[in-house]
Amino acid sequence: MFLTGNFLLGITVLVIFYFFALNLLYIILVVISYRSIRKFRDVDSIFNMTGVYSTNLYKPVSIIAPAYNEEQSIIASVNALLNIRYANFEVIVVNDGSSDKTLQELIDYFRLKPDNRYRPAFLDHKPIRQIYSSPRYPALVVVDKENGRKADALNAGINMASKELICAVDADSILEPDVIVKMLRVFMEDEKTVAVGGVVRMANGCTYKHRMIDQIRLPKSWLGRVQAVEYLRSFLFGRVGWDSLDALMVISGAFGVFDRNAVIRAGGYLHDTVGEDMELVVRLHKYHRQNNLPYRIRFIFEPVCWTEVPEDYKTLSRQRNRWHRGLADTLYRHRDMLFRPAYGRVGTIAMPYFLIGELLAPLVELSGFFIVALSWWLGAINISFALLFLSFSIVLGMILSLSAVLLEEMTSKRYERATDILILALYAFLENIGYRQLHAWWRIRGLVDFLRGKRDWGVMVRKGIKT
Amino acid sequence: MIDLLEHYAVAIMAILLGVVLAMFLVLIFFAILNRLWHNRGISRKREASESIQPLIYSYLDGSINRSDFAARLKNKHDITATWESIEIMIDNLSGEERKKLQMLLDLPPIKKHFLRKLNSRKPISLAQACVYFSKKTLTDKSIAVRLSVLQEHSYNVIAYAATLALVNTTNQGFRDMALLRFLLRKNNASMAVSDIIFKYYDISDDKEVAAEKLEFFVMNPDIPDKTRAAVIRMFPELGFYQTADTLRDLLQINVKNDPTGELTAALLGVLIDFSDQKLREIVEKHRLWESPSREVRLKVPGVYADIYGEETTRILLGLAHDPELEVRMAAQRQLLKHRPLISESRFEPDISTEWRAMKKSGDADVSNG
Repeated sequence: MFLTGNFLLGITVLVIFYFFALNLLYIILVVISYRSIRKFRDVDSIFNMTGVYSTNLYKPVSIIAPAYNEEQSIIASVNALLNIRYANFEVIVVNDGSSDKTLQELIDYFRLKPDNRYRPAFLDHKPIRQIYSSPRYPALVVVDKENGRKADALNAGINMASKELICAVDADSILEPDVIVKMLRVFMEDEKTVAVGGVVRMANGCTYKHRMIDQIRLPKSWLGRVQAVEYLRSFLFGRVGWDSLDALMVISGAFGVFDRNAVIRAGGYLHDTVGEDMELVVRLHKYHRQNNLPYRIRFIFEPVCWTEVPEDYKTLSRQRNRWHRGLADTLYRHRDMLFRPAYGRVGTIAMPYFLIGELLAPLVELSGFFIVALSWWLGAINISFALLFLSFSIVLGMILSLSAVLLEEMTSKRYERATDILILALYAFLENIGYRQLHAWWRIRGLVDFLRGKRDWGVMVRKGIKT
Repeated sequence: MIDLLEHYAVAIMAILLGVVLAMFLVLIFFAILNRLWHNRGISRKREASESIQPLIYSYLDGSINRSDFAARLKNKHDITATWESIEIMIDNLSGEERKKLQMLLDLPPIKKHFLRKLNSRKPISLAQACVYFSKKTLTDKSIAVRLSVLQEHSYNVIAYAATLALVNTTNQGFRDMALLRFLLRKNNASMAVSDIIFKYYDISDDKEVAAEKLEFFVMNPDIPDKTRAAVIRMFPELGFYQTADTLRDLLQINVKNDPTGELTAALLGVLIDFSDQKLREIVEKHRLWESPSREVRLKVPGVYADIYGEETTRILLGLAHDPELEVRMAAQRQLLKHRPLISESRFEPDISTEWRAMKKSGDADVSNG
């Protein structure tokens, strides 16, 4: 009994140490993000001044939008892409073997004609059935190919792309009208940039006009609001902080701009992973470090695109399970980078963090609850201490979430109503009761599924963005 | 002992909890205060803008004069509103009205406001000052000196904005010095270089002289190759066909000492655009199809766009077997123009598959051409 008590006490001390170390890193990230956002906000305001970069001599961009069974929204999505404010771009829609009328809708609406152009095979992908172009919409190319999932479709799009930069977007996301210019600013500030990501925000609850965000509102559901806080935290102090440390490991699959040659040289998107967005970014780091090439992978704090998030438990659990499998898969594939100074801060800080602070976090979190309860039952820890520690961890979590809300308030101020800010603050508290534990459970299941070799995406039920 | 430790642990945890709770309340309070402050700023800005706009129109139609206008500027919100209105209007007006607006920019309170910003340390203030001075006729040497100091700022966009202000002046000496100083910077993005070059040329009264200046700058070996390449790539855009001889000379000098191949590739690209007849000689003399730079090899097929013959076929066939797919494609595309019926036996087995695919497509529109 004495030995068990000591063992549990030891584990409890370890859990407490883990908690403090992780939260210290979060606090450091908040401080770094705050400084970085202030700097970038200045630079961004300068770019918006009249006369600055007014010649439109920007690098040309190929926007690649993979589409799978999106007959309901594909026309509106492609129209929105064609209406982006930018001087030199093309839109490549890759119909990834849709079983519905996605392709026919595109052919009919844009009056597409078969195009016999040569298809260079820089990257592997499933066979292309036909390429279409439209005399009425010269900037549009539609590639019809056999189904091979998103990464495969993106590779086909990259092969077809003729511009210097590529922009990977989800066809069902809503883009900010000046999104490309915003991203290009990073390339203009630093020539070594090979990839840029931006903040992806939740479209649930918002209203639209002409497929653009009109009024920004919080979703009505509990799950939607909790995710609003989660997204702010993840993007505003997570990714901005990692960007400042030059160790960004994720650019959301919903929107990212890449140097086309860099992606091709690194080998393009990987087919047999569910975390192709993170995997590509890590591989870009690896490729450039191994070949001693100067590069930057950047992140901007500005919202670039809006996407619908799941608001039912089943779909959300599947999504989080998939994300965690993607994380595990990327870390496993690139395990040779872990703790290796040759890979800079990515190898020595970011990857160890993602392993210990993200991949294993749900295990520690849930086992922590269990062990603390058991220790208390066996009298191994003081009940007052346990309760105070629990309260402390909840309030610290709230502070971190609230910091993200504040960063949003100090930067883009997209939530027009002050009540929305108060609601977000309330949900920063409420997410700790129930949701956080549930989320940890979903992620543990993701880890188990990864170990069992599960590779499928799972069905994502979307309500669809009604514009 | 253990009881004492437990006691301390509980006390420390209680204190920490108190601290984080207080922080939480402070953050909430700060968030609300920040929103209120922001809303107040917006409403004051709107009020200022609503009162200034009619004044500007009254000034333009002659109802009030400059000193009347100056007397109405009560605070910094009025100055900012005046500047923001003029900034938008000035590029859309011409002739007398434009001149009148420029005279408003010289009003002492406005000038003083931006001079203060020019000496500030805040990047946003510096940039505002740069943009302000880029809209007016700059004559003051001390301001030009300050702007030239800002050309070395660690924020690339400030260096760019300061250069923009100097390039927009009417003093040719300021403009040339500013451009040279900007081009000598080590970390300019090519898009920023293109933008500045275009603006420098666009507002030059004598385009011939501007072309000569740029020609002179690209010969300067102190300017980083990456920047020189960006300037050279602008030449066809600006129609500098008269610079072909200089660029060819530069290519001759540079071709052996270009480790990245960036400058050589830019020169080849521009000379191809200019349909330079003597380019082939240089390419063959230096056997550029064997260059270690992929960018250089990628340009070589373009040199042979209108040159036919067995030697051309031999060079293009060599490039059609290049390890880089893009180079192979460019070479095969030219081959398709020159020798569409060339025997497949002249290609390695792997490459002949590519060649067949290229031929099948008819090379109507090779996407990476």
